[in-house]
Amino acid sequence: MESRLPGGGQEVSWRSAALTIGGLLLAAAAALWLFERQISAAWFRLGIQPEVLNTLEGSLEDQKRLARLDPARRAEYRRRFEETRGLLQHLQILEHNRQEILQRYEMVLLTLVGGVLAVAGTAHLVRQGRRERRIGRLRDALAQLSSGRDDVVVGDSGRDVLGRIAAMIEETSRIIARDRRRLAALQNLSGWQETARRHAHEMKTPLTAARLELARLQQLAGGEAPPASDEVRQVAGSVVEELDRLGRFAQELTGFARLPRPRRDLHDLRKVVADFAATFAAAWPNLELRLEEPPEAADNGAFSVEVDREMLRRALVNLCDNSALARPAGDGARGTVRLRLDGTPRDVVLDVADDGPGIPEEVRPRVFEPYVTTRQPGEGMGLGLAIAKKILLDHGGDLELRQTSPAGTTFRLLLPRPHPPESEFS
Amino acid sequence: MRPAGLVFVCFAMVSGAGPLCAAGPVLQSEANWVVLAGLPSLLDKAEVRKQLDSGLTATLAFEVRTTGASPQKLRGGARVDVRYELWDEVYLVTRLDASGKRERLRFDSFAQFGHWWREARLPVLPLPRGAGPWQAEVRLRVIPFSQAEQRETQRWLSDSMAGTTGGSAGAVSQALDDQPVSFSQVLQLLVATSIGRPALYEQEWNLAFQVGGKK
Repeated sequence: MESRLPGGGQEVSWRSAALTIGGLLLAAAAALWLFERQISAAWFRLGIQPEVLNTLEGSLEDQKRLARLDPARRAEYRRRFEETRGLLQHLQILEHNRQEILQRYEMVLLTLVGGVLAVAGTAHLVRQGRRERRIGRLRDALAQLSSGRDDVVVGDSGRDVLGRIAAMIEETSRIIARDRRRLAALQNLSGWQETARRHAHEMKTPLTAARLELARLQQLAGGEAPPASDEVRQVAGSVVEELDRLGRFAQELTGFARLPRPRRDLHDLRKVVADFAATFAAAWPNLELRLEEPPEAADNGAFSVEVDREMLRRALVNLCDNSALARPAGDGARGTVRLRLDGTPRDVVLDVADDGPGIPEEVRPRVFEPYVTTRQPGEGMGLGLAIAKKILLDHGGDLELRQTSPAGTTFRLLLPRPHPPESEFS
Repeated sequence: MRPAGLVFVCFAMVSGAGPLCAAGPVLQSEANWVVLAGLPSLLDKAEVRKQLDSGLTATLAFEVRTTGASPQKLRGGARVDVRYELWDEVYLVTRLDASGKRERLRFDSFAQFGHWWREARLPVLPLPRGAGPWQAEVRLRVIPFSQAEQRETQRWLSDSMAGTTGGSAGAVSQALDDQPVSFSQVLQLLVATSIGRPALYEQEWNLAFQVGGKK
């Protein structure tokens, strides 16, 4: 699939807010945990309380008393006495500095809280600034859109609401561009159709008169003796042949000029294409039609389109005709035309890819214009691609030259889905 | 005594009226030194007595500086370090005065120490040149424990906070030497260095003394 419409933005927004709040709570919890571990726990481990000091002082007296009662273990009691005395003195010194330590304690706590708040505030300001810049870019993009630009690129891939608005602007720009291209192509083809209609009309009257006169001439020549009659028949046959060619020419023009409006019904394009590949498998001796499976296991209805089956078949025939005629004559090798289905959220896509010699570079920009052909005069009028394009445009879709090179050419048929997914602005 | 008389006596006490005030110290000329005698009876104060009996090394520090109109400004002082040895129950006293004399004393009881204190004469200033009356400001501070004890407690506190149970190298000195890099080191440093040596008691006197004649 080529692109996805933005969706689920509300969830993303809530998720973003939840993540921010969660992050701040986590940071605060980590700061408090660190504080508790590094300061509070240590401080309370010290146990600076009057009863602790009294207990230690009592312990000192006990050691001295024990030493007097048990002189043999005097050294041991003395060692214990010194250890206790050391601890007692540390606690006494801490007691002297209780106020100062408490002030430091509070200062560290306030610093931590202040740090967390500063980080949160800075993060908020950074986000705010970034949001302002993004809004500015959206404003510029909207101004470009309103001024008629159809190639607007916002360049914001965010998943929040601003990112979704940016995606909508870009999609709107793409839709406008596509509609303009389609409109221009339709106007161009309509002009050519009108021209073809006039030419066909102008040609048909003298062509009919010439045929009648020729028939009368042949009738008159029938009374003549040979060899005069033989010569007239020979010339008349040649004229008839040329008039027939002119007739076919006029008929082609008429066919192009009077392309009917499509009568669309809902079809599964997979089936339509499969039928085409089966029916026309032997239509072109130098071509093999190959139907490729869609890249994804599509559910029922994934390739449903409203299409005039016969007209679509005609477009496909024209494309295959071009492929068959473009191949070098007489080399005996069979080419391949691959029919590959795919889809976008808005369109069902059918790629028609051959392995022919490709389209010359100078022809590519005008490849869908009528009477543009690479074949010799008399071998075709160059109306096939124009007719195919008109058929697809009349379906609300399009026909694009996807790529062409000496290794082959791919045309892309786009047919709109009957119920495209809802976007934010549809 | 009438109020006016009481005010006069108090003024005389704080202005160094000398022999009139028996509770305050006096400055006297003696050989080449100005000597501080009649040391104040602060040993009877409950908080001072408690500190002296705590086992920590309390310091009784005198700072003296001449004041008044005299062009010669002199500074000096003396200190008495007192540690009650809890095991032997004796008072170990170290006296250091302006003459550079260091004296170590041992008293078996607080009464003996108190007697020595009352009789002590501490050289605090070299004798000024020129005869005449002089004024000096005397400041006494009772510092509850020594610098060595302070450092030892800082080290112990740091070790406690770091969760270490032994080792002589404290986290504070280590942090100071190595430049703290971790948050825990910074916290240890912040808290451990908050241990200072605030004075337990302070008092000041303005005293007069006579050089080259009778005070």
